[in-house]
Amino acid sequence: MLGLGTLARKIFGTPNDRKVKSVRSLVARINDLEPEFQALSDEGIKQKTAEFQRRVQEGGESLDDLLPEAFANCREGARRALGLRAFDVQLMGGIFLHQGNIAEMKTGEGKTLVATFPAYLNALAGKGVHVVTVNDYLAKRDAEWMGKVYAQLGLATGVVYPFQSDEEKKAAYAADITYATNNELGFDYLRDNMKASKEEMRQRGHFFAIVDEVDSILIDEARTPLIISGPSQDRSDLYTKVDKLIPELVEEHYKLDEKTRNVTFTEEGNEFLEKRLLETGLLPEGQSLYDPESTTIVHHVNQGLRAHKLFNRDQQYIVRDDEIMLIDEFTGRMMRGRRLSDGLHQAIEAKEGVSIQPENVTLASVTFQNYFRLYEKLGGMTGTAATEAEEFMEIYGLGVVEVPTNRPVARADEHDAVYRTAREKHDGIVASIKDAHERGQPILVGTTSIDKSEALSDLLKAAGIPHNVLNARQHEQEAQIVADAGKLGAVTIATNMAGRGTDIQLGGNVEMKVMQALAADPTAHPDEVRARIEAEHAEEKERVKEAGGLFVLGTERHESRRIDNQLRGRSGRQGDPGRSAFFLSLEDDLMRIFGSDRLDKVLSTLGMKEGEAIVHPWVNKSLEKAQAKVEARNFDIRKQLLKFDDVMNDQRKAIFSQRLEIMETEDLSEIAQDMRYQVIDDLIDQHMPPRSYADQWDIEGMHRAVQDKLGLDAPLAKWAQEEGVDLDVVRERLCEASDRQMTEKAEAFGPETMRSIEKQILLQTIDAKWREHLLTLEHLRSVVGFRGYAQRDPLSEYKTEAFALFESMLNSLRQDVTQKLAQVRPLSEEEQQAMMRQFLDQQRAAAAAEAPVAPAPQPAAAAPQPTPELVGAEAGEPDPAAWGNVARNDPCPCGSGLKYKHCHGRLD
Amino acid sequence: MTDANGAPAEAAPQIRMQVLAQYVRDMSFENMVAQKGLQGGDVQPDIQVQVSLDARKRSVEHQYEVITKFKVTSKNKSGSAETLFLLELDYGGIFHVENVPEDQLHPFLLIECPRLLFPFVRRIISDVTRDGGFPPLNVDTVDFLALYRMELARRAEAQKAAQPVQ
Repeated sequence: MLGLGTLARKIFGTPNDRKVKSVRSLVARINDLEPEFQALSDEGIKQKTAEFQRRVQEGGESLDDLLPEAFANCREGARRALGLRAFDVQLMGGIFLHQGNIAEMKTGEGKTLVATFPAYLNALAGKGVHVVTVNDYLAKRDAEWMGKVYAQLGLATGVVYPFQSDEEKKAAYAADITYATNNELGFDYLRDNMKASKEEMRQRGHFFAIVDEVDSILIDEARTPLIISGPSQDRSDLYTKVDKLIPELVEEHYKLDEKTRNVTFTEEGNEFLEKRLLETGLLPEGQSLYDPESTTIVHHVNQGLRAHKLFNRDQQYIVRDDEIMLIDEFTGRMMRGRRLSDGLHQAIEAKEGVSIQPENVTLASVTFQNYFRLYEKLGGMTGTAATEAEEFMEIYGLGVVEVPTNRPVARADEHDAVYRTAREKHDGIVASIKDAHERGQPILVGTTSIDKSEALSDLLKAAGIPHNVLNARQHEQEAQIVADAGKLGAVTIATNMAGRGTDIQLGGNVEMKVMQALAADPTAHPDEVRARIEAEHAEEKERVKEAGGLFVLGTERHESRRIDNQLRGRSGRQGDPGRSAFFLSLEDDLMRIFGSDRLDKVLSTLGMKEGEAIVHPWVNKSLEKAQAKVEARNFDIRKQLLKFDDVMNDQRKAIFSQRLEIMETEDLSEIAQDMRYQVIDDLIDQHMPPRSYADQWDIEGMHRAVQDKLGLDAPLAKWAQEEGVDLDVVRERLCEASDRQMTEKAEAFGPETMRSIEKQILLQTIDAKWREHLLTLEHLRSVVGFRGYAQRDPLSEYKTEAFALFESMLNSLRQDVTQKLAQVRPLSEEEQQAMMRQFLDQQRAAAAAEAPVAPAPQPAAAAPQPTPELVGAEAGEPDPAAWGNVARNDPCPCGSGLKYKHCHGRLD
Repeated sequence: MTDANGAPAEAAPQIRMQVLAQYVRDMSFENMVAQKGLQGGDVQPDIQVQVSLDARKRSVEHQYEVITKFKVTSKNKSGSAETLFLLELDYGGIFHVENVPEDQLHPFLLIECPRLLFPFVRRIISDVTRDGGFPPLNVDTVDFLALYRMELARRAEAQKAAQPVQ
């Protein structure tokens, strides 16, 4: 039976087929050019690169025009450097990437090599190309491996990984092509925007990025923001105390909603808790949970409840080395160093009785979504993207193109087998594994969580089937287990991490076997060992193929079809035979929570018996619908998050670009002047209403404000008495006076110093204000949802409020900068000496305090950098406690020139 | 001028002391109730008075300047203890002091002279607080002798503490 759509596709081809067809002519041209480039010497290839660079950078030729020649040159370079000649489909993938698409390529098709083509082509523009991988190991491996190709072509390769020095990082980013992980790129971007000068910045713009495993980075990880944070105050004992109460709760005290992963207290729960909190003294006598003072305790209690009811050990996290390590729900990997925000992590730490780490405050943050949208052009590669094509298009403007495989896929994907209960399903799985194992077919069993993988492992043990388990706990042996997974009759149970980026090779991994053999017998000759093992391997591989290749058995459907496809894709690579099947039961989470009632009916109509599985396309369809529902829901969540984040992103872009401008500008006096004038305007608006007479002015207030903000003792009262003085005259006089003051200062400091002071003050103030602003936005975001109850759209409310906050931040930024600049003055000789003395005393004290613990740190590094020309807040916060008794009318010891009572002694 | 008899009882010269000038040297009054627009109402103030003294020789023979420093802090007794007002007054006088033995000069300047200045200080504080819209504050009489002894004791203590411990 052919539907209309199917018929149309038969005749016109799918949109994908058309895209693929459109690049065939380009590939043909590259093939035509091949002999020409093969004839070149090694030197000739390098010269071609130089020639291309000239043509792009000076001749203004477009990269598209250059594509055939550049690809031909790159193909030849790779052939000479690695001995790999790229297939036509790989060139195709390269072209799609260059065009800013996601190239969906099945695993094992050589994505690493594909990336070199667009990377090479775009590097010719000289603006840097980033190749993004999912982990540091892959970044280093690929950079080393493909670096040979680029070196052959005459381009430099850099690799970025954590804990590099600034110089190393800078050099890596300055290379033509830079390999890095998404995390490191994002963090470097944030760090760059906390730097004090342009020279210290590491990245040099965002031109073109090729993202490997793009679905993992842009979809799975998109929800996770990158955060640079600092510790805040410690409330660890409160977490522990609250934690003791949670186990006392019974079921009617809370409501657990598995679908939205949320848990809330019921009325009874609230009453019970209030009673217990009062008894334990956590809640002061006479205070109720609803009082505003109880916000903190309510927050702690809520997080405690979530920690207990939503987070299960070995499912969402594991405990290792006195630490809670989160597990990535998609890959099953441990996420070292990643922490839940808002006190939730601390609550889990309290629950497991490990040491509680202090909460963190955000200093800077960006989500991957926003980071990667900075690039002028983006390309991505993955094995599975088609199901999320809509999301890629909508958010990143990336099309998805399925690149045909070099050899046709010979894997048989079976329909799902559905059982009624989990027990029956497990029996079915064990029977199926046993059968395949006896025939010698290697089996990879995919599970969704660590404890499920272990439960299955117990079942197999009981059935007497030898097997390996691959989950986050076996991090170290991972490579070994993956290498063995393709051996004859091997049974491997894996969480869905199962070695992304590494291949399961039929018959096992040759390199691994050789290394083991050599380790066992170091005296043997490596070449002989290799020859022997290769022969054995070829034979084993043949036998595995005869047994049907790798059998992938899924024990549960994941929330996303993409993850299922990834699991399937482990089998049948590069034209190998293979088989995949999913075993499900009606008790699986996905079916239970999202499955439709129809499914139940369908199953009962089909007449299901105990121990019997149902295999029917209808069931598959129903399941896929359930999955699509979940996918759509997750997409909505991400889209919503993005909308909220967009607000912050626009502001971030504005601030970061301002920052960059300030760093780049030599002379900031004009910006400072603008700010000053603006502040004067604001002050006048505040104290002198427009079109008012002099006697309506708040002269005293204005005088105080002018002195405070501008450091000017303006004779306002006198001016007000003059004939014909209006607001404009006052404004003009104030501007003049402030200009004069700044000019005098600039002379006193010398123009160079003044400029650097201006720059420092501006940057420091921007950073501090931005940090505060981030925190405010975070808080706003956590409460803005409640506006929904008032029939208002939280998003638009958030937008307006965030904008108002942003404006007020800019306002106070201007004021602060002006005030600080007005208060800066050169130090007299004695003051400098006094400062030095104080500084040395502090150092001595610091050194003495540190001495018993550790050798005294290098003084220059340990103490804040002295800036002898500066007084005021910048010269290290002065310590008012050390000043003793200062009379109210005395000049403030901080050196601002103000009276103490108007400066640090100000009563507020 | 000595008596012709030159009687030894007459040998101790007459102590001469005269107030040459007296003045407010520095004053600061910060009315936080007015500045922050607090509710005056029926708050219970908690008033603290700090007194310190200073005396110095002037360039003219036998002349000394003695300064009494008063710091009066009024805080809200109940609740958040915010400051209601803060008054600082340096009230000084120039004294002509003659024929006081060297070892008694110090206590003389810091006990007798402030005693003479105090009533004026008291009046100023009372006036200023009243002018600030508060009930007039009449500072209790200060016992400058006791104050002096306390200061001596404190210094001795401080000296002891400063001695390096062997």
